[in-house]
Amino acid sequence: MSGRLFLGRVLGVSAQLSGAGLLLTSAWLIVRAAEQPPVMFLMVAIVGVRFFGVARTALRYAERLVTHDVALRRVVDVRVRALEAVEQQAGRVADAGRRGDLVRRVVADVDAVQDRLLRVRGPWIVAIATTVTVVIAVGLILPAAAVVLLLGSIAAMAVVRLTGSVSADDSLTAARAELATEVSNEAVAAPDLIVASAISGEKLISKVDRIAALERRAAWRAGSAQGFVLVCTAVATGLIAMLAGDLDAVMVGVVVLAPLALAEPLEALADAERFRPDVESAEQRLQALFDAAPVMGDPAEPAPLPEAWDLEIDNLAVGWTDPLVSGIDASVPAGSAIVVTGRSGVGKSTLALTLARFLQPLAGQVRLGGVDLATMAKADVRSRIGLLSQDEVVFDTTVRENLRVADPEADDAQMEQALIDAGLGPWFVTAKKGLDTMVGEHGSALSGGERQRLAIARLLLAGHRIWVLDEPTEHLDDPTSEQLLADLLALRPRISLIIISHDPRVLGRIDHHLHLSTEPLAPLGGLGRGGPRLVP
Amino acid sequence: MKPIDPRLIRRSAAVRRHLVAAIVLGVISVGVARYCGGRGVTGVAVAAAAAIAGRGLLGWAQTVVAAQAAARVKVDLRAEVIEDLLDPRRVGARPSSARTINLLGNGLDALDAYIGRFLPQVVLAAVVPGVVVAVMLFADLWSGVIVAFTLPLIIVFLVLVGLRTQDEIGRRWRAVDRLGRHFADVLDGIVVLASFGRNQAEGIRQTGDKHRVETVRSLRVAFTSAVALDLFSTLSVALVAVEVGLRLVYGDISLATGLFVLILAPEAFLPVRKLGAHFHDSTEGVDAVNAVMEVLDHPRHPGSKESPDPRREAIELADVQVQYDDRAQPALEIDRLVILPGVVTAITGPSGCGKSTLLSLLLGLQLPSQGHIDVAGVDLTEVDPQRWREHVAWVPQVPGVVAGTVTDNVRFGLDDAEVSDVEVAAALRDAGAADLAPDRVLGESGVDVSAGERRRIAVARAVLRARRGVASLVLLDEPTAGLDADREEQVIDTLRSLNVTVVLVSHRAATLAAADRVVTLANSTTAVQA
Repeated sequence: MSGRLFLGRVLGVSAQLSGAGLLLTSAWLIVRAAEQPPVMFLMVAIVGVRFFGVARTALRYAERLVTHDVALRRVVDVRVRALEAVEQQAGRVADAGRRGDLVRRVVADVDAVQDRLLRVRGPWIVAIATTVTVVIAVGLILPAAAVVLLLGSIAAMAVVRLTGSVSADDSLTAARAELATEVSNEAVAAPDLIVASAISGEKLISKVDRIAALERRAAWRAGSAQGFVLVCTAVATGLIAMLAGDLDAVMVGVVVLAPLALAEPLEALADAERFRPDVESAEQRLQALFDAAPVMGDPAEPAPLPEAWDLEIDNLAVGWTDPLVSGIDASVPAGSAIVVTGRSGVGKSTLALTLARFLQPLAGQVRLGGVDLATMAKADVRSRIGLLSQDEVVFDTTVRENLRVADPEADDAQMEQALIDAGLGPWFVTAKKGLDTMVGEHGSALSGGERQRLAIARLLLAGHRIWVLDEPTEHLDDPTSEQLLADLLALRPRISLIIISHDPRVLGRIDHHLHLSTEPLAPLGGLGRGGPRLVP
Repeated sequence: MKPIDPRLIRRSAAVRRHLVAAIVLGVISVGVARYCGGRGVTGVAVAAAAAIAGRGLLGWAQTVVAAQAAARVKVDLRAEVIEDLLDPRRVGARPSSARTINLLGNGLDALDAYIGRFLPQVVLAAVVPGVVVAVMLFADLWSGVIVAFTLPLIIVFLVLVGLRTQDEIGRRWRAVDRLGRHFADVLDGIVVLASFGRNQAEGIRQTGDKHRVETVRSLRVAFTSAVALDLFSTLSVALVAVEVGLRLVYGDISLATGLFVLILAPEAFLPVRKLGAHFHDSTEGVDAVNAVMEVLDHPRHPGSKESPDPRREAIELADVQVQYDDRAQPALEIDRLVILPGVVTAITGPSGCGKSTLLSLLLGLQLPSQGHIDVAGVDLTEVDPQRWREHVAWVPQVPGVVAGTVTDNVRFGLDDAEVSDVEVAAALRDAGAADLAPDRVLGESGVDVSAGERRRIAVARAVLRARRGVASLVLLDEPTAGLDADREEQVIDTLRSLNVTVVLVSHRAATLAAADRVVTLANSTTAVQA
């Protein structure tokens, strides 16, 4: 436990003990006052009541400050760990839909981590420490009462803890995740499905109803647990009142009210247990994420990045678990261009991910400057090979921040030049806020073409030597795509281009073609190999 | 800021019921405490224990009632959001999916504290102090007067606290929002960030630290003001105690009355103090309600007239303009455009000239900012949008899929029994989707379907709807994107053979060449007709 967290716990326990002190001194004060002693005999108790009253408030808020601070620090650490884990798996979540689910889950699970600290563990530590202290204090006055108090508290804690074990069916987190999946599905799907007049919110409503039912059930469970704590309190109070018959009247009040002083921290446990199932399932999922084997790890001793950037693809097989396409051979000398073609689904995008080291080759190898990519660090490879994927993500922030992803040091002039070079000049002129224009969620404030060109502007700012472009002209109109293609080709020989496309405009402008196909081809010329080949 | 949103109370019967229950429980609990506390003689300890236990029991009942009410209110609001999102008359931009998920998920949890704790406390704070002061005035005039004077001061203080924390809480809410989106955004863009070699760990740390500082700072404000509030009411009670003590010494009042007044005095302040402690619940609760209201607040399609059939009628656009608030130039500007029935019209033009907006207009998903669209002399804005859309098939850039097989998705919205598998297979084949197995099962979230596959399924759906005579106007946004030349040709042939009005957005030369008419939208003004 860190010093800060320890401080938070001490503050929490002290606040609760002040509450107990407040009640018990008040009890003493009232009974003593009823005996009508001179006022001075009451002074200490009066000061005590005021002191405990103020201290309770002050300590509780200090505790909240400290523990929130600790919890938020810890969340940041978990976020970083989760980010690193997701990065290791990036190849697996290259698909936007798959990624959306993962992102939502991880964000929610990470937030649940702070609940454990603040809402589950905190109340338990406070309750146990307070119980022990009060039991000892009462033990000094009347040992039998202390035993009753201890047994009552243990019974209450045990029952409360049992209400926290809920079957997986009842998990609110799971129900909420289901709803989130459904919503994101509907949100994407809704417009055209609504037009088809065949969509109903029944499924969503039933999920919302289920969440409400679970919430109500959780409230009832916590309520019954609280009720049981009250029963324990009442029974303990009655027993102690019977045991305290011989005691000095002033002390009777203190001993009899002791169970009530413990009722508050014990009741708080009922609330804490409401969070336990969700917190625990979130932690399990995060642990599974951390433990998952990386799709793409770095070699133990990465080879240095070579200066040369000729790319050789040698008998390569790509795919997730089984090869989609194999026997790919191609050579992309530094500063040249090649078009990759093939039917939809043949593995063109998978090849792109493999080249950018998001996926491990299933067979064969790719060599950069004569060095096998698999022997180099991912980061090194990606500093040479840039990727423009098909559903390129633009971030829901300003144009400037989107460009800074590629080059944090770029100044406004460089960014504007990149936008113009990517063909966004006319758009930029009409954007009221210039580089500070927001692009919207998934770039929704931009048209499909503008989104693509923003991604290209980003690529222009980064210092890659080899660009792998997955359908770069897909959403562009004729003149723009002609222009873009010309601009791209003019980047040679500074940059090599690997363009995945079946756009005839692209095919016509680049001589080297790599056709991916799963059907074996008749051997051709001197190459003598089946399968995909570099067609000169 | 209004701590109680009247819209919420009007909207929700659950809130009203809960408020009544909370008041009754609260008043009873004060009464129980007072009744037992008042007879401070011999069995004082047991009486007090019974009083406090009774109060605890009522407090528990209050909690359960509050939780139930909050759950019910949240269901009502969530259902309203869902209905709104699926409302065919909804016009204009849709809330982002992240925002919707937040509203339907944790975003409304602030209402638990707001409805459960704050609202009843408001009522208790309004009722209890008055009752207590009245009782005190009756029992002992002087003490009553002191409390009656100090209480308003506390309330003034409470208002000041509210004004002070309002900004802080607002800032924190925004910080939380920003942070939440930042982390999700970074995860979502992990492939891009990794391919640019950007390590986001530092950014996550910085944003997280900023959020932590914001949170702790606003908590500190709440902390200082709450402690000050506590001190102030403690002082007021001490004033009563001193006055009672002195008069006791001179024998002006009986001990019983003195004790009664002393025990009663803090009760006058307690509900107000609690209100102060729960004040941030109200800001967060009101913000949550506001977020819901913002989503619900948007124009609706006003049309109610019977729909003309686009099969035989031309669609005429005159002086049409669509203007978004955040852009200097209109998103779409068309002086005049006539879409003739039975003709394949292709819309092209540079990115951002409003091609997709034009389709939204034709669908009634967007209303023109000015000008009008007429079909057979009827303004489309006045036509019931659902009736109109019965005649329309639409293929957006990223179409939706429903859980089920490819076949289910193609004959979606049609009577299953009437549409044979042969027809579905033919539609798929003619939509360039012969490689999609009709019995392939598509996942609930459509995760395993690529954008290209979605589009081909949607084209098949549109083809089937047109062939069944359901749709006589087919709108397609980039239907041939991502297709190789053979399949592009196949799709165009199919669309031409439908003999219905087709409006398609494209920039592909082969697609444009095959259209009967090509309309080029310019970024500037007029639609040029070729």
